[in-house]
Amino acid sequence: MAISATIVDIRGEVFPEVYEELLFTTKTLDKKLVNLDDGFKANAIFTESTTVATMQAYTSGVPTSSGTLGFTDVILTPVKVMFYQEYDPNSIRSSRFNTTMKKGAWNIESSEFLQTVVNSYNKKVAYTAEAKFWNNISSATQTAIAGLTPGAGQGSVGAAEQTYAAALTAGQFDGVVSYMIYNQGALGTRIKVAGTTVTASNIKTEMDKIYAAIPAIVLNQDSSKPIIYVPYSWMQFINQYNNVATNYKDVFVVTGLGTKTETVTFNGLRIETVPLPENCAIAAKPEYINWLTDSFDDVNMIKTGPAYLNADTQFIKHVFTIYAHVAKQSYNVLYLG
Amino acid sequence: MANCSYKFTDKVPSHLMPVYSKDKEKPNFQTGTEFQKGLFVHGPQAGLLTEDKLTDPIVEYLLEKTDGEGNPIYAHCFEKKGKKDKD
Repeated sequence: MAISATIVDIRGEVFPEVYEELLFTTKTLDKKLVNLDDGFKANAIFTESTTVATMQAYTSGVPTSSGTLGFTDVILTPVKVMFYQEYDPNSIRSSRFNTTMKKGAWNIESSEFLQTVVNSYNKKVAYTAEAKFWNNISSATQTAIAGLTPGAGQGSVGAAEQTYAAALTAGQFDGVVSYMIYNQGALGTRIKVAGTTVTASNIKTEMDKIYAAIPAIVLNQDSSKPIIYVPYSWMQFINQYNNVATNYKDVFVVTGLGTKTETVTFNGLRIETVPLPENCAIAAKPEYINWLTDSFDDVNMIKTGPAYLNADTQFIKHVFTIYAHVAKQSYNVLYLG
Repeated sequence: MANCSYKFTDKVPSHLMPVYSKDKEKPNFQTGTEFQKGLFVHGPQAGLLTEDKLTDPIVEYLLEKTDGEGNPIYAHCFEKKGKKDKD
């Protein structure tokens, strides 16, 4: 049964607040840090165009066709997943939550329990979805990456990439990092940057490597600039680095430090923290990283009710679809150390 | 691990990890927890590198990995397999 509790039978005063577990906010969704594509039930077709325009000498006679009008389609179907738990509300009948149970032996549903414990579980479902979006791997991809021969060059899988893929627990789809390493049956065409253990001391050096690897054509677009996605721990390194008094200037421009509206930029590019692995960063235009689903409302939608007709057992169920797709891979930088 | 020349030393810590069903119909159905020996190379969010996942390139990469100040992080975690281990 899903309830795992240390219960004190209620007596005396109850402190009104239930301290919830601290969770990272699901910024990928809340701040729309990637392209959120909803409305895809199945078979979403993504197309990438690559054209070649060839200038040639003018002729007044019949010209010769030259150049390429090319495009590539991929078809993707979001994977359907669920979270499901059953619990027996009778097991909390003697706890603080009985003060919000209606009078009568039949009534063992606590509104406070639903608002606190179950609500906290819902937040964890959303966070788990976000973490999987960045970090998941399918068993087929895991096997394929393990079978590659690692090397330092762009055309080889990195030893760090192979280590990362080996450690993951295989799931139903490839997360963003795995997708960048191995994509559509072959090594991904991401721009590979060999990383190291990132600390407060070397974060500027390592961020320089990431910035330098971004293709100039990507940086010189007026439409949108790349975002540098980093793990949560890097925000501490950034502030510690900025706080070294002997540094000539703040390398990372932080506005609204410590507030909800805090923003961080490096060489004019936004830095955003997401559930990436340690010593990993991605620099990509947000529209190239796609979160596919049927409906984003599903992630926050919970269904609860009696699990069986003849029992008091209750269920909590979330069902949603999810898939990660990284487009224009050769424009995106993957730093992994 | 069969193809790896290295094994974990006794200094590798154990962590309480979820155990998942082997049923192909429910590949991510958690059946319980157990202590597993391994390394969180890229943090807990990226999974535990257990001994069965080791290959020579992975171990050689980890042996060279430093803490950012030149100190090896995992040198104490691996040792070459003896003849007995390989049999």
